[in-house]
Amino acid sequence: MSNTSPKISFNSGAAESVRAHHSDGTMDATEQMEPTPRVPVYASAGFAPVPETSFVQRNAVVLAVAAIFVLTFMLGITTALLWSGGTQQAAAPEIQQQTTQVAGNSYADAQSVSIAADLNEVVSRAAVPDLTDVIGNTQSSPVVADLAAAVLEGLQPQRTVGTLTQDELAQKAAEATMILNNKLRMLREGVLAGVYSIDTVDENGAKRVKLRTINAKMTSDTVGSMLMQAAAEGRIELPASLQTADGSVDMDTMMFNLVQTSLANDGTPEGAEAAREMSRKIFAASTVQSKDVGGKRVYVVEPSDSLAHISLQFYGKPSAFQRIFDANRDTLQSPDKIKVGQRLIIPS
Amino acid sequence: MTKRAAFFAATLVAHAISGAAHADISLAQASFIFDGKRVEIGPNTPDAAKYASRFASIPASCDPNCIAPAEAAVGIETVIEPQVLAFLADAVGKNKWLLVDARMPSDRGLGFIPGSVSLPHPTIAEAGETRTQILKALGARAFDDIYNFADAQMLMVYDNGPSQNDAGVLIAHLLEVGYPPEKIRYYRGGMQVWSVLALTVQE
Repeated sequence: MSNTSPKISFNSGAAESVRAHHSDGTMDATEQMEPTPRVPVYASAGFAPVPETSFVQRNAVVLAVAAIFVLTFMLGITTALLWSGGTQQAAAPEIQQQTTQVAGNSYADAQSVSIAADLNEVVSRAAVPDLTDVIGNTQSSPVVADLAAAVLEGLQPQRTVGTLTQDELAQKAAEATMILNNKLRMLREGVLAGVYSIDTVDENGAKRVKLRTINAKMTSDTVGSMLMQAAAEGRIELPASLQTADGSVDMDTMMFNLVQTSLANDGTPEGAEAAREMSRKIFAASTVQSKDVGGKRVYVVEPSDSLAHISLQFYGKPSAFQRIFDANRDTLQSPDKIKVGQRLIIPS
Repeated sequence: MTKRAAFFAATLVAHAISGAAHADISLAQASFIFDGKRVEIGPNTPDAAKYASRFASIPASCDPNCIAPAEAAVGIETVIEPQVLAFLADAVGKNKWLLVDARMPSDRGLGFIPGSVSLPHPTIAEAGETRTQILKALGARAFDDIYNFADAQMLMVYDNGPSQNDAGVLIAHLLEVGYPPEKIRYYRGGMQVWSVLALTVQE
């Protein structure tokens, strides 16, 4: 009966020792603390595990400090490895600070590595060429690769042709058209209001029919150059009937035609009447002369004549050139092919 | 002989005098077409003060407080603003030369000389396809890793200004690959002097 309590204490002691054996490394604080008061019991039973447990116990503080050192060292190594690998994390500065506290050297290394990485990004490290690099570094940095396309495009600007840009040319053309339209509108209004005169003017030995209005001064010089420019650029097409015998374009007749056509086509009785009146005035003012050859009226082409101008003088309107052209098909291939001295039949 | 020497001296003096008389003051303006668009550079830009302080505050790219040398390299002529303006109007506008900005896009984004092209110096720092393509775009002929610059464009290179040496670095790279020095000019004033003169800055 007296053995009961030692038996019990023995059993519990055995159980304790087995537990201590199994959970040798992973023993937690409570387990470590628990056996402490029972040490005398083990001792009285003469059990072996007793000194082993007490060794861990006695060196617990030293072991813990050593473990912390090892962990910190490994953390430092890992950080340095991560950075030298070139994969900079967003949390880099924090890691850097931790490392500074523990290992000064490791921080210095990390810093120099990070500077090197920055330099690599700016790519100024090849300022001095690597003479030992025989193969040539074909793998350029990503920054340079990204830049290349944009830089290449910028290096090949559009070639400059002429003294004006396309926008400026379009603007000038629009301005010229506006001036021309304005002039024509005024001219047209002058004709519509009847405030105009038609005169036959002697120009370089040839007689020309000229239109003059009070409200708009219109000469072949002012508008002619604009029209010629427009024609040269392909923006308008000059009718073949305006081609003169000496190779130029008959701008006077062109303007007659523009004004008269716009009047005749404006759809109002006033416009149509003004166009007809214009024709009557031109017809009356005309001093052109022709010869009667075998009952047919024949006109001899002069240097500044165009088919439209001849039509203007004989019929009062440039648009009637087709009648003359049709009557002379056998000698005239095209309305712009009239020659100085050529004899044209003028149908009456 | 003495007669000839005297004549020679007289000619020299005459040249010196006429040279002095010909040093006209340049107009701070240029008008030309670049990349299909009209470029107008004039004086008295309204926000000149803004640009001047902006380019002045860009930290030096080399060692602290560095100052770019008078010559970018041996044989490279350094030019001043009237030459840049004349060059833009006469050469760039007639497809002959390129005004080259040697800075990185981050700096160029702060403002640049109208009519200039971007050629950041790192793009030709290393041998490779990128460099070959860029040199070809500049008119060089390439055969394997050999370049011929007979048809290469004339380049005028600039950067932020005297406190930066991007232009010097680019010129060094160009010379390394064999770009003829007589086809390169260095505008040392860069954006800093350009903006202080209140000349037009493009952004």
